[in-house]
Amino acid sequence: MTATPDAIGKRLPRRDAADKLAGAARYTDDLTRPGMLHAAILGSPWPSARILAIDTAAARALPGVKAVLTGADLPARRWGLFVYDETPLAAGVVRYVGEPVAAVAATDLATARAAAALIEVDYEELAPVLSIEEALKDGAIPVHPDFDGYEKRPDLGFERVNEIARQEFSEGDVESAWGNCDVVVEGVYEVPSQSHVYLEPVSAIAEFDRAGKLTVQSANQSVYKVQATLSRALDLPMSNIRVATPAIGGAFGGKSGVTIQPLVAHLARATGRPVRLTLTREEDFMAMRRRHPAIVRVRTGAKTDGTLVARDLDIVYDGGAYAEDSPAVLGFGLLMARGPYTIPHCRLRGRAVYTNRLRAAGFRGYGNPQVTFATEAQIDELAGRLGLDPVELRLKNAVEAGGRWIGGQTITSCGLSECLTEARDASGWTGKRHRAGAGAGADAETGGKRRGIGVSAFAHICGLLGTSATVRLLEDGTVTLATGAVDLGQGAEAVLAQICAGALDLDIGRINSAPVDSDAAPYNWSTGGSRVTYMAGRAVVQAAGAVREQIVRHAAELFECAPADIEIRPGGRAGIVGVPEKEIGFGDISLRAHYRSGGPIIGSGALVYDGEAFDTKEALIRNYPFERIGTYVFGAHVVEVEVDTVTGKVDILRAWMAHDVGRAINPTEVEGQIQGGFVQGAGYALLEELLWEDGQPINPSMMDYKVFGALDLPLGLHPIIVEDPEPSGPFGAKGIGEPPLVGAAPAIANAVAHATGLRLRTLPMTPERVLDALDAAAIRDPEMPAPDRDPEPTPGA
Amino acid sequence: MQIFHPTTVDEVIGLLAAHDEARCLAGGQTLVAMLNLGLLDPPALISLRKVAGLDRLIRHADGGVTMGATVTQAALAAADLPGALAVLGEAAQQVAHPAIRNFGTVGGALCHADPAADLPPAFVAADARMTAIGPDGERSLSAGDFFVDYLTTALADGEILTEIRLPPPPPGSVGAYLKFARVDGDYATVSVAVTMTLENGVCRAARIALGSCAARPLRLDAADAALADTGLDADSVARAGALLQEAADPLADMRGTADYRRRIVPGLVARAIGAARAKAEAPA
Repeated sequence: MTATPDAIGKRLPRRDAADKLAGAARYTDDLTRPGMLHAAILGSPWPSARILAIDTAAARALPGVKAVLTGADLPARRWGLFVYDETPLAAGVVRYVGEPVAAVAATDLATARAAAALIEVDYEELAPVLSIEEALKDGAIPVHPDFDGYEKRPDLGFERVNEIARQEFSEGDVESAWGNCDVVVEGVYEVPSQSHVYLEPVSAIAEFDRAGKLTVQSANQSVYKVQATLSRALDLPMSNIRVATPAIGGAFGGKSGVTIQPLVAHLARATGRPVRLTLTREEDFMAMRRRHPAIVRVRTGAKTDGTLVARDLDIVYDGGAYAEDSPAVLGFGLLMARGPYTIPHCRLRGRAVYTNRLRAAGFRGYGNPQVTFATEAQIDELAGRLGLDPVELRLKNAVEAGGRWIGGQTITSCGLSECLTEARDASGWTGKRHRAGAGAGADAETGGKRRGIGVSAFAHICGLLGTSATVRLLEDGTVTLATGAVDLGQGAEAVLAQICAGALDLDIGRINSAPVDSDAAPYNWSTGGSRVTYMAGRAVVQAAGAVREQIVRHAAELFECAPADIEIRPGGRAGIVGVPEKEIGFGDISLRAHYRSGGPIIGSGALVYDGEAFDTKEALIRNYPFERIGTYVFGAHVVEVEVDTVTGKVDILRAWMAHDVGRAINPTEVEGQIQGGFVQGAGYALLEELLWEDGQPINPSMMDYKVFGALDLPLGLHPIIVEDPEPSGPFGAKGIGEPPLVGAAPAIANAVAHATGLRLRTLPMTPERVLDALDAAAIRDPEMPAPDRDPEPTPGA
Repeated sequence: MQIFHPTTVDEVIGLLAAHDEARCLAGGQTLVAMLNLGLLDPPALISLRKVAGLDRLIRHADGGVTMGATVTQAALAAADLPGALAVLGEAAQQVAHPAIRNFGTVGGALCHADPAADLPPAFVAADARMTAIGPDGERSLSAGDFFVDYLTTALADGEILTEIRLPPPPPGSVGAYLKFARVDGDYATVSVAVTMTLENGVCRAARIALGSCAARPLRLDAADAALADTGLDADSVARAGALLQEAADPLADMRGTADYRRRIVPGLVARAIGAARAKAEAPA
């Protein structure tokens, strides 16, 4: 393999771009099947109620209605990720507003919806559990009275009613460490429920053939997770289930498990016809998934010189009505709670709890945005107390390659310090940080606007679970690559094709990517966890390597030399080392393999994450859901904001987002992930929050729940790619999907604190919350001092 | 649902009389969304698209403007009207998104009478006259009288808005529309429409109308009077803002609590006045 294959590091255009720009890409709801029925659902009006009776007679009587299903019509087979607590339709009890209670299939959508509205449900309302506090108080009402009886895989240790999981990840001796700290900061941070707001609402088409095989086309992040859950829900062997993937309009974790596929499959089974269900935006908001809101209590201590000594963190995630990813979100949050710093004494504990609100699940960041908002605020609070520059304090404590993550794993590559210095230098940090900003007295000159600049540093992982790939050499020497990595719109297909092209030293135009269909694609756990480039990319390199070996063998036979004397040359040729004219094209080799000798050339690669396991001798690890996840990725953001003291609105002026991706396979795709993640994180910081009143969602629409659009953020969102090659990664590459979101909110909050002197510990920092804080500070101290500026740098220091 | 395509205003009036609960369809940017959400199910829609002359924007020699009810918001946004009437273009430029402005009409937005929408306060600040035609003939109302309550105008059953007349802007007049919203394209959390006539730095007359602060655009004689014959000094501006703040009776919704909206009124009023004044001071 040449040192830098042509396809690696190139800003190549994506194959799906032209169709998407032209509106020609076909999403699930664009597809129809002969005789297809249309489905509609009826959701629960109550956050907690017993279903006494359901009268479906009027719905069934409507002409065109082919099936009406309720929970009583379905087998009592619960599924879940760790706790098997979910059913396709509410089984006897409803646990959140919007939970599907009944479903209709009819010859047209209007009839299906009209029929759903005719279903009469008799409820006995029950007292709901609507907050973390209510879930955990003494005498709390259990959201799942049958929790003890549910199957669990594994059982993750709950102690109180409504606890889905309780975990700990600790090192050192935190209790005795406080005495060694010169400064300790302490705070409680609250983060909201964010909605995924993928552009394409959840959609699925299911049908059975006459031999009993089920085919489901749907928006999903893993055909295999969907296949496995359908197998359980419908009591079918996986070999009788095909899951296919049309174009997907975003997912962000919200389509990582099953969504409505089991329900649509039951409707197809009941009617014997293909059935399509696409949720309305409101139904999707109310019945799908969200980010876990959380309450984070943190205490962090340091020495006068800035050396971090101890951290005690306790987090409670609101998991909503069903457990789904909650135990893993909690576990991953704890793994990130030390932050990318060396802190010898850490006690990191947490719980995930049930409430009668929409289930929470995986969402870009997976428990990390919650803890990192709190912990990165504390680093700045410590810097303020110690009179240290926030970037310097971070650099002083930053982990490095060869160092240890909490839990003992070796950090195999680490560009964190470079991320910090690059973001600092590109942003003009030092000048902006020390410039006398607009304190209260300066509002008159600045029109009431105060500027500030803030930083965050953070980590994530990109290595977990299993994946595989096949590479087939076609008769003409071009290649078909197959992986199980669904492309959610983020460019997975393009990046994996580039890795394949790089591994075979071929032009990208010679790589065909097979659609992800469980009937043909090799296994991949999921497009999630920022893992596709790193994990699936490694499988692609393995598979391509197996193809190279076969090509070399054929060439050696043809040229009658040793395989060691054969080299693969750019452009799809194999030749004798040192003899430029002795070479043969992949096409001729493939023809030989197909028709004369050896058989068609196929290579495969497969792996399950193989990094170091956690060291349970070093760390106290209780009820942890993972044996090994890792390969750490790093980033640092610097954000400049302007706070309007008239309205409280925070505007982002510019951001510099430095990310260590090991190696950027396609820098344009990396930059897109960085900018997109930052924008979604800015929404988390400033704007987005699903809200309930008395258990009723009050903003389940895009009129009321807003996300940032192109005009709301500046053009100056500058991605900075840092490349510290990861030895185990494909061409050194690591993941980038989630970290850009993780670092946004803390950097913005730190910038707001710099601008105003106020530490906001609750997200989102809406204009009203910021104005409340400004007003409260003005009342406390009418001569409010200038914001907490760093000390002027000492010349020569 | 029946759909009609009349070509004259008389035909529209006749169809409205003949079909109870029928709705006029102009740009459809609100009406069609409401139909899709099942909030409305009228027996008939009367399209105004083919009614001759309703989409004309006429600039009179004296500087006055007459615009038909189906002039699009995009057309108004691009019209570059003079003096105080600039408030109308600035408001139209901030209605939702380009696709909506290309279809949405001025008359449709005014007749919907959403106090959070951009055009109603701007037309009140511009002192527009509304022409309504119904079975009993034609009448003219001030914009201030046209807006009655949430989603309610002074139009009688069977009556439609056909055109809006704007008086010639006085020499030295300026207008500005300031919108504060959560994100671009959202409804206003609070908006301020202001027109003023300035003479050597002295404000001779002012009209301020607030959006999202009451059941209809909020205008106060006392607030306008607080600015008249002043140099728009900070105290006078603050007095006008305080009066409007006191009179504001906003709803609480996802865009902000009622208290928050009231709190930001004086600061936004001062900014809107400042923006209008800057136009008078800017070199021509």
